[in-house]
Parts: sequence; structure tokens; C-alpha cells
Amino acid sequence: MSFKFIRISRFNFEKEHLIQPLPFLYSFQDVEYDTLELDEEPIRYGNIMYDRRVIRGNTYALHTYPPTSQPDPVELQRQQEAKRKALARKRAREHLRPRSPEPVEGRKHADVQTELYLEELADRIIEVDMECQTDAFLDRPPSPLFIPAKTGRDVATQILEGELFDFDIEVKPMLEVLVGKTIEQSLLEVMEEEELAELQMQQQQFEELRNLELAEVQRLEEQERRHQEEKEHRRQQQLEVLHKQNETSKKIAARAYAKMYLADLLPSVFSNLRDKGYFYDPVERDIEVGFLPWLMHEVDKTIEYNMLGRIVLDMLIREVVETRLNMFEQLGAKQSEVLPDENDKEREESLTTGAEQFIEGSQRSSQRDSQWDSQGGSLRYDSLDSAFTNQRESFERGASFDP
Amino acid sequence: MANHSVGREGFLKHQVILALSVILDDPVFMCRMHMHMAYRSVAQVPQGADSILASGLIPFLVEKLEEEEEEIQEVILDTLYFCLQWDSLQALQSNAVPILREKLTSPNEDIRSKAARTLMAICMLLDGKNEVWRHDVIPLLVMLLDDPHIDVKGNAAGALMFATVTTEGKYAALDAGAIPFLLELLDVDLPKVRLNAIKTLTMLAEAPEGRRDLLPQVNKFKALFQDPVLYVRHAAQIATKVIEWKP
Repeated sequence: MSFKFIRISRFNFEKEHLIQPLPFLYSFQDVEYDTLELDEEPIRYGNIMYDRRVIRGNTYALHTYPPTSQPDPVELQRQQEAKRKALARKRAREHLRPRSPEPVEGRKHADVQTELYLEELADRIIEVDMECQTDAFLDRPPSPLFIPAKTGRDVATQILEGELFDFDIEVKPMLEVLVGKTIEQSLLEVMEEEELAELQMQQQQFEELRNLELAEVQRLEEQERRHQEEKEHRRQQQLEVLHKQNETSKKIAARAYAKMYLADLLPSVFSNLRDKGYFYDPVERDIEVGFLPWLMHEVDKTIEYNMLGRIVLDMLIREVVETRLNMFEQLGAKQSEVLPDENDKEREESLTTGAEQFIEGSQRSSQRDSQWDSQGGSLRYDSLDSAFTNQRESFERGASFDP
Repeated sequence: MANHSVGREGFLKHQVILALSVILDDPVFMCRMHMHMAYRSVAQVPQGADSILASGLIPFLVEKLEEEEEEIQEVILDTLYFCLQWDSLQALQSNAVPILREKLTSPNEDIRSKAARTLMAICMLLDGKNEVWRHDVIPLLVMLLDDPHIDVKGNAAGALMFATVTTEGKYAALDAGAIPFLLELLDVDLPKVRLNAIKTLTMLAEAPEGRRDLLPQVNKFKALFQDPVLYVRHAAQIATKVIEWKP
């Protein structure tokens, strides 16, 4: 489209649309025509519809001018010739135009207004604003009703009473229908009510029955429940009885076993106790506990006295023997001054043996005398005396020993 | 509208029940009356009763029972009767049993009979039975067995029928001396009364004391074998079987 637009603008610009008559190629006679051309060219308008230059038909594929290409070179030539000739004419006209003489040297022509009243010559073009506006679009007014023209003739008529129909007769069937319908409707309603009442009664009966059955069911349920409970109860009781029986038998068994186990216990206990000496004859015990220790104690004492006596005796004897020994030694020493040494030895030996015999004798006698220990120490003195006499006798024997 | 089942379903679908509950306190009498009637109609269907229970209206209804006028009370008692057959827990929680017990002594016989009917509904479930026994309603019901109005007798017998299923109920009724009254009821014209009486006696005959008392009266039951109503015959047969049962 832009191509067309440009073309059109150029079209406008070059005034091609302003139909100008074909230039007369060969007329130089219209001088007035030429003078007119000083200012403007005469614009002749023709019908665009009948112009050869207007392109008809499809313009989209056009690139060259629509007149066929065949005469184009001829046309072209002709145009070129025309152009050359126009140019030549123009030059010739230029030459022929009367002009004002050339200005003198150093001067210039200037345009001057010579009228009486000066006109302002301005480059400004007198402009007048012209506006044109089409009216706004109005809605299409509705088409007026088509009222056909009245045709025909006016005619009038009048109906008098009683001529058309008789009301009372005619109304009868209608009335009948109306009344009949009403009655039918009411009958229906009454029947409905009756039906409802009947239904109600049936419902009530059914309800009673239902209640009855419900009560029956509940009763049976209750019965069943009670029976079950009873059964359960009895079962429980039985279980308990069984349980108790079990327990009792267990207890009995345990008792028997314990009895058997413990039957042996008593005799063994008694025997144990007896063995340990818990059963005793009181007299025996008394003797054992009281009498015998005392006895032993006394015996011990007596023996101790005995021992003590013996020890004292021994001490005495020893002392005596020692003093006697000393005395004898002294004696012996004196005698030895008289007698030779060998006799000393004999005498010493005899002294010692005699001392030993003496000691043994005293011991024997003390042993003999021990039986009479209980009689006190008087016997001891006696035994001592006897021991002295024995000593003296032995000494005397010793003394008599020397030859 | 609630009288038609389609209407009831519509009720349930659009939860009209809750919306109507707003009118419970409406000052206009007719308004409340109609509302309660609508509830009654809805409650006759199990789903309706379920939805009323679910929307927790029972405590309110029980409250209204005390305050409202007698006509409305009757309607409320009917509604409660239908609802409590399914689940009496809410009613028990809202202390319905003592209130109903009072109503049993009301001067209006319709209210008495309906209250007895509602108690019957409460007794259908085990919790209700225990509550009824605990509140000492059974002696009252036994007294009502002697009421001049037939409906009251029938409903009282029905309530006893359910209340004596439990052992405690049985002994409570026996202690209150129910047997003579019930035996009288066996002769009443209305089959419902006879049925209820027979059933109650059957319950009581389960207990040893009851059996002992009823054994001499077995003939009465045998007479009922010829009763025109089929169910009465059945019930009489069952009763005789129970009375003559030996462990």
C-alpha cells in the first residue's frame, strides 16, 4: 500500500491528476495562451472516468505502465521528441519575450510599486482557515409504521337484546360443568380425608402391633439375658466348687506328706536330746555336778598337802643332810689328818652312800608314812625322829666302818 | 405441607426445622400451634425424627411442655412420642421424666393419655426404663390403670408393658399391685388395651412372684383364645405359655 501512497503523492505533486489536455504539440499561434502561461498554466478539468491515463483493474502486480510494452518504444520515442521540442520551444519563447533592458553597470534592477496606494508585499501568503466537518453519524431512525391506506367501506351494525342467544339456556351446561367440577373436587377431598383417617387407623393399629412385638422382643431378650446370667452364675459356682475341691485335696495331700515327714522328727529329736544329755536323773546329776567336783577338789587339796609335806620334808632332810655333811666333812677332815687319803675316799664314799641311804630311807619312810597323812604332822615328827635315829645308826655304822 | 411425604422430604432437605425453631418463642399462639403441628408431622417419619433429634430440639420441647398451653402441650407430647422412640438420651438429659410424671396427674385426660404414651416411648429404650424406675413413675402408672378414660388406661398399660421388661421394673409393678388392675383390663373392648394388658401380664409372669399370682387366673387367658383379633389370641397363647412354664 505504501507504494501506492508514494505514487499517489507524487501523482498529486506533479499535478498529473489534474487533467490537463494533451499538450498541443504543433501550435505556436496562441500567443495569449502563451502569456497566460506566465503565471499559471490553464487547468482544464475533465472526467476522470474517461481519462486514458487512469489505470483500470488490478494494480498490485504493476511495475511498468499498464499500456502494453509493445508500443512503448514508439511512445517513448515520441515523448522524447516531444520533450525536446517543448524544450526548444521554451528556449525560443525565452528569446522572444520582451524583457526589460539589462541594468546599467553597478546598478541593479529592483521591483517597485507604482500604484497610487502602496500595497504591502509580503511573502506571507494570505491564508484563510477553512474547516469542513461532516455531521456525526446518527442512528438510523426507525422505519415508520406502515399504515396501509384505508381501503374499503365503513359499515355499522347493531345487536338488540334477545337476538343472539338466550342466556339462561346457554348458561346451563356451563353451570353444570362448574358445579360438577366443584362437587367432584370436594368429593375427592372428602375421600382423601377418609383415606387419611383410614390410614391413620391402620397406622395406629400397626403401631400397637409394633409396640407389642417390640415388647415381646424385649421380653424375650430379657428372658434370654436372665437365663444366660443364671447359667453363668451356676457355671461360676461350679467352677468355684471345683476349685475348692482341688484346693482341699491339695491341702490333704500336703498335710499327709507333712505328717509323714514329721513323723520321724519327734523320735529323732528326742533321741538327739537324750544323746546330748538333756534328760537326766536329778540325783545323779546332782551327785555329778555337786558332789564329785567337791570330792575331787578335796582330793586335790589332800594331795597338795601331801606334796607340800613331802616337799617340806625333803627340804628338811636336805638341810639336815647338808649340815651333817658339813659336820662329817669337818670330822672327816680332822680324821684324815690322822688316816691316809684312801680312807678319806672310803669315808667320803661311805659318808655319801650313807647319806644317800639315809635320804632313801627317809624317803621310804615318808612314803610309808603318807598313808597316815590325814592324821596330821605328828607322825611326821615321829618319822623325823625315826629318820634321826636311822641316821644316827647309819652314822654309827659308818663310824664303825673304819677298821 | 408436612403432611405429605414429599413435603417432609423438602423439609429435611432445606433444613426448615431449624428455621421453624425460631418461632418456638413466638408470641402469637396460632403460629406456635401450627409450628408444633408441623413438627409432629415431620416426626412421624424416621428421618424426620432423626433430624429433629439431631437439631437438638428435644430439650426445648421439653421446656415448652411445662410452660405452654394445653393444646400445644398435646401436640408437643405427640411430637415427643414419635421422636423418643428412637433415642431418648436427650430427653432424659433434659429431665423429661419428672415433667412427664407430673403430667400424668394432670386433670386433662388427653394430656394424661398422651403423657402416658410418651412415657411408653421413653421406656422403649433401656436407659429410659432405668430412669423411669428410678423416678418412681411405675406406681403412678399403676394408679392410672384405674383411670375412667379408656385411652389413658391403654397407654398406661403400654408404658408399663415396656417398663416391666427389666427386673427392677417388674418388682416395682408387682409391689404396686398392678396385677389386679391389669386383669380387669383384659375385659375392655378396645383391642389395644387388651393387647397391652396381656403383654404387661406376660412380663410380670416372668418373675416367680408374678407367676404365682397369675397361675390361678390362667383361665382368663384361655378365654381370650377365642378373641376375634388375631394378635390378641397370639398374645394370650404366649402369656399362658409363660405363666405355666416350669424351670
